[in-house]
Amino acid sequence: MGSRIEEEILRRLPVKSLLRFKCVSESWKTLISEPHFKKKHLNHAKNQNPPKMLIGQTCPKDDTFYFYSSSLSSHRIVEDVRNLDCPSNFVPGFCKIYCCCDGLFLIGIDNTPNSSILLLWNPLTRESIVLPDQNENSNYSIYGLGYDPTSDDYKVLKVEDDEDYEDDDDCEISNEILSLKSGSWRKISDSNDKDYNCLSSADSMDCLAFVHGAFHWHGFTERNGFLFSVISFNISNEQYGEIPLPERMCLPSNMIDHGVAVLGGMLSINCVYCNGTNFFDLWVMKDYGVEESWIKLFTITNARIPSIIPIVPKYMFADGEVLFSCGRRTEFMTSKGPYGFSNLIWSLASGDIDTCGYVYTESLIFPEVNL
Amino acid sequence: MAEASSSITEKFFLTLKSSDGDEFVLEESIAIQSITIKNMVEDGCSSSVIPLSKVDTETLIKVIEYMKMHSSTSSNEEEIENFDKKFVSNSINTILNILEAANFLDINNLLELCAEAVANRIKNKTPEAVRKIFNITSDFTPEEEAEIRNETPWAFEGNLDHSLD
Repeated sequence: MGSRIEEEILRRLPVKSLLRFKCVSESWKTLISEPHFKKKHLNHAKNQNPPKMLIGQTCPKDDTFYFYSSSLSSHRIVEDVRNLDCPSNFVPGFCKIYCCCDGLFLIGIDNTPNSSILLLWNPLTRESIVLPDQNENSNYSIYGLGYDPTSDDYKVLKVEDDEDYEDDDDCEISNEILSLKSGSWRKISDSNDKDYNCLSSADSMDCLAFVHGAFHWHGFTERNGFLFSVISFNISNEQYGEIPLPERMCLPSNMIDHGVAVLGGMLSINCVYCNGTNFFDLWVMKDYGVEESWIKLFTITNARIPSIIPIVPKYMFADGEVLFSCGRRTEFMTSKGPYGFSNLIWSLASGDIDTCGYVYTESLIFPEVNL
Repeated sequence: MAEASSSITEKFFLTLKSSDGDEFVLEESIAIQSITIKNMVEDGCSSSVIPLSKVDTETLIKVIEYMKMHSSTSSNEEEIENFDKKFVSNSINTILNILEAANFLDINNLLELCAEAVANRIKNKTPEAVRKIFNITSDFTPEEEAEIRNETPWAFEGNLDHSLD
């Protein structure tokens, strides 16, 4: 059997099968362990359906955080919910899933009241590593994780919420970046001396939106006096930029919630307006960087909307249906607009339990971290 | 009918010869789904019989069936889908043989179809069953194998499939 054929078969297998098949032979073990093969496997998995979802839930009985994984399907019935072991040997009391990329998760764990640990975790291979301490440990940071092909490295970006220091001009908090190969956090200096922190009112964002080699978030802009814009940060050259928004999307009046996300590989913006009628708008930028290519996916007009914010877009199915996480306690709902949301049907109780969820791709990848 | 007869006059035929010595006559337009054959035709090597020394008769029949169904002139999408479904229900050894032929003949969609089918069939199998199917002799000592198993013991849990098909 030629090695090309073996590779063609193996890159289509789930991670669990590949870990098992490492003991088939020396040559299979070598192939499955190669970084090149792991990337091919990831690229194949990215196009696979159904996608998977990682759910984190704090159990009210023992105040412990539990991880679950399940498949998602567009007919909204989730059946194969599996309990996942916690990363490393932590028994997390308070835990937060910050973001994910290529099957890797960035997790924050509060071990003792004053110290929190940042952990990188691949739930499928069960590899994890504690990342270096950050220069500033703020409760209001928002994180992003992305892959930089020019340095063949994963990078974590931490953007500060502007609320933290707006009353105190002397206390500038700058955004920070960690390249895993370097193993240390760096403050990002900006020659323009502009404010690139994240708008604190962007509640509908639980992580930075990583698409087209750049992280994205809502920030201020001085351009034309509009209140908000989308800031970008290129993962390779580490430069800030701004994504053009048409005027009709920059209107802050009566806006009670907004966020930036990635849907179907496109940058997307979501807003909730409250002015007599309540409505939710979802936009996508069809051609990255082209202002004219912003189109409205749908509007949902529903009196219930203010009670279920923040509404965070999570995933777009092939048929255009979008999965959202909604509300402070988080329920998962789907919608194609314009009539409203329907609840995801599954065995995990939610609504009165703190829940968070991320759609992810199965991956063998675990980057080297130099500590 | 006039249209049909005019297209018949333009048809070219190739003769493919299996490793068992059996010859198959096939329309050129169907056979050039194989990039290997297409290159031979373009290089002018196709005037005589094309020997396929790596493809046995049983496999070549299946490959020709597949190419006929997938040639652009016939079959609608639903027919092709049903054909593919039935095609990959062949025994895993047959599919592996077709996969090797698809690789040699460079028929990409056939290669992908078979690779996907094999992956689906082996994903829940034990390493022992996989070794037998792929005719692989383990080159690990029992100690080395135990060590690999201990790295990810959960990957060996659950209802694993011991069957060879």
